[in-house]
Amino acid sequence: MPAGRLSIARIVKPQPPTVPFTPVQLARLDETINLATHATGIDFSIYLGDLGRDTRSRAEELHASIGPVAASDALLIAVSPGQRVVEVVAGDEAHRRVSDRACKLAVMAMIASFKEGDLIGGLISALRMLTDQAGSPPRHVHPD
Amino acid sequence: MPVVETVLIYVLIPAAIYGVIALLTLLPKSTRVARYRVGQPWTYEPVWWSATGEHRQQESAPAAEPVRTARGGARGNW
Repeated sequence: MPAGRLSIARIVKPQPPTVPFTPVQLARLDETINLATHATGIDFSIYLGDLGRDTRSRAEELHASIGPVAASDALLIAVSPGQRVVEVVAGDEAHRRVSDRACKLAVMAMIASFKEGDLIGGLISALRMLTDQAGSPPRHVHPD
Repeated sequence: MPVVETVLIYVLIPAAIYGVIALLTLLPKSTRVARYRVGQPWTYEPVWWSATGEHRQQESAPAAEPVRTARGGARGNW
């Protein structure tokens, strides 16, 4: 009768990169997104991929796919490096906190970095600018 | 022992081992990423980073009437 334990050890093979970024860059980006979201209460997210023929409507579709309630607080930065276009989509509440002018400034900062090929640097500086603009989340004071 | 033998055994062999190991460190890593340059086609799968991790593609209910949640933003290209 068989005795002993079957090993569940698996061979770990190094995976081919899914994005052309080093782990250090990805960690910095992750940290910046977390900090931005928790400091402002706005749900920042970054989409990096193809945006199809009509980039604006595809970006808005992605924003809507967050969910009808959650999208109000959500600000999506959609970048398509292949098409060289960046779209920033803000929901209702996010638009109230971060004006269109601030979004435009962030886009300009991103483009300045993307022209050099520095995707992560551009995304991080844009997130920091938007975090600055958004400020801290409003405190809801319950009337007594 | 003659001097030549001494040198061969105690200097050359360690230097050879050292050199082989040094050459091994120069091998390219298997997980090295290629640097992206402007104008290169983007061949990677789309990636979506988020802090909450609650975004899920709404596949179950493709809305008959697409809900417009976008209120503003900006765009640009380079």
